[in-house]
Amino acid sequence: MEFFSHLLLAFQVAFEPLNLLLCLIGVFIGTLVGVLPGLGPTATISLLLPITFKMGPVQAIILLAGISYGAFYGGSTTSILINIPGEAASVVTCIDGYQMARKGRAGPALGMSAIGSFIGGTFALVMLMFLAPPIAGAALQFGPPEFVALAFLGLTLVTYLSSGSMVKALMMAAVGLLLGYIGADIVTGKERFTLGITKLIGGLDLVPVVMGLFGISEVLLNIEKSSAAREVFQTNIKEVLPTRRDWRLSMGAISRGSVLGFFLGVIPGGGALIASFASYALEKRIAKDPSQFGKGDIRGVAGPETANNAGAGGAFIPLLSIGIPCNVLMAVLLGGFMIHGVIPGPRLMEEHPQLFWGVVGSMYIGNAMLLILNLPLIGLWVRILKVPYSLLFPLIFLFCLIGAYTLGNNTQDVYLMILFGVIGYLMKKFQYEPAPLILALVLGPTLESGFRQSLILSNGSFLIFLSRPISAVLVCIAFFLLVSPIVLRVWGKKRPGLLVRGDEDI
Amino acid sequence: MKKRDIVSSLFWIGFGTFFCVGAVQNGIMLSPGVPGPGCLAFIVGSILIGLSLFVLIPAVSKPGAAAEPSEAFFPHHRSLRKLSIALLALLGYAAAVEQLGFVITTLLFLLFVLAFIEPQKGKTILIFAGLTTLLAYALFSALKVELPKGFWGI
Repeated sequence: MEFFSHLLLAFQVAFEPLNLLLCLIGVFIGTLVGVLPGLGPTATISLLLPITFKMGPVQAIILLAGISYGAFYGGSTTSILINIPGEAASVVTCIDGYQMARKGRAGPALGMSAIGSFIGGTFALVMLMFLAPPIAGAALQFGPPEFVALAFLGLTLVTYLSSGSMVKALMMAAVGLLLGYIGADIVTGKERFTLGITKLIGGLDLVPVVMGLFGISEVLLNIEKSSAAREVFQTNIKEVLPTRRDWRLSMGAISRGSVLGFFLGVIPGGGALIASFASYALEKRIAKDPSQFGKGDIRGVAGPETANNAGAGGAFIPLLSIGIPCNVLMAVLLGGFMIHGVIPGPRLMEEHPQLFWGVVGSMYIGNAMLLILNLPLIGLWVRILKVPYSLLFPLIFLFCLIGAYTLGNNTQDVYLMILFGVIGYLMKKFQYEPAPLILALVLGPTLESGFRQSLILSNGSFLIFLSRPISAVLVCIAFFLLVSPIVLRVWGKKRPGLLVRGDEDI
Repeated sequence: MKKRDIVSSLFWIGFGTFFCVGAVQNGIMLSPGVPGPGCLAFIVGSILIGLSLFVLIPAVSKPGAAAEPSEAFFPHHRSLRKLSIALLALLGYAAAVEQLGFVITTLLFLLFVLAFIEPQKGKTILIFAGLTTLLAYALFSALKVELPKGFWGI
């Protein structure tokens, strides 16, 4: 019965005309940035945050959430039509999606991708409605040591699952934590690491840092390359509905993608990217004829596209029910909540039921809007793809500049964003990933306050993290993940072929 | 990559050291059993230094590592020029926007970027920069975003 009252509240809030409009704008912008290579949802949410300042928290989060899940719908379009993923979670769709386009089947590939995305996204939402309340209830029992252990595990998983060197990912997490300590101390009020800059007393703002690391640096990396025109595949894409055979092949992939994607989205460090890769690997492994993968097999599109949307939905659970973002996109969204004075976590459902259930309701509607919008608008996205990057990047620069300026109506945030743009550019050149840095920057204050409270509770004994069952389990998992690559490396030298991450990658 | 690992790890060692020194100055413990403002910063700074050594030591211990050829830093001969112009434009925008106001600074910024980074035809530059400035001004005004006004009030 409670479930239906929640559902009713969800749709009451979501169907308010303004919320419907913002949901539509959010998913449209999300699809647009998903379609455009070089501007992901993380940077977009950051640079649109100032626009939400005048809105209420419900409206702002509906808009921002729409951008975050809308981007995963749009990302597949570029993967299929030009073999360039619009965002990272669509990388794997390039493999079979582009091959389908080359065979004149771009329409069914795009159609199945949209349908799979809808099913995956909706499945994740149903699970979110069922699982978030009990998880939030359990999280109410958490004390400071448990939150420290959870944040520690989240950071460890992000570094463990990073694509490059784990040591470098850990270094970036450490840098993010250190940057989080800049500003006045939460207990004594003492200024720390501010270099005498007044602006830094309140701490380093998340938004200019994200805009710099994900927006400006990405444009700098793109403009330094020679300007080659993108070639959009010329094919008939009027017929987007898959055939009966496509349906028969894809239903299993969509079902497995929904479940796998959702659970990989929920774990800290997971999310849409890992979900899409895992789904592709699973489909290839269980296929009777895996040799068809890579040659335009529709299962290679349906599975990953379903999984990345289910993963994107699943990632909302730790954020909304525990207050811990499990990936960088959720970390930026957490920033959006905080700017509007809302702290996500176990009490969110009690203190802001309109916000929690309203956002969930809008996500149902947003998923339906995306399905309805995407298929007829494919022609528009193709035309947008033909706009040269030389005309797009000034717009991205401009939005970043205005976004940073309007955060506090001063140019200090703009300079900070430019500085982090250069840092982000250099980090990519030196093969350091920015995602662990952002997540650590967001989790840093939670980790520090919890850590200090825990030590005060235990009279300075670090054993408090191991003497409480939940924190002990979380800390042990984190240490296992930290140590396992080293063990595998040593073992791999004795038994060649065992290494899962090469020497360079550890 | 080895050469870049040496440079980057040395930088992060310096960065970690800065935080460790600052943490000690801020106080690692307030009293026995009570962590001070520098406690976690000292621990994390030390971890960063330790991890940087993990990157640095293999890079320097390999014979001839520093001289090892690696992928070019700039992929194109005009890359540095384009990057410099882009940064100049961004910094110029930040420096001028409060004096000149949103409209004039945005117009000048777009004209400069379109003319010098990926040069476009004169007509395209004028139309694109003009229209973008007007549309951006209309959009942000409609959204009630406070834009810098400058001397001329726009």
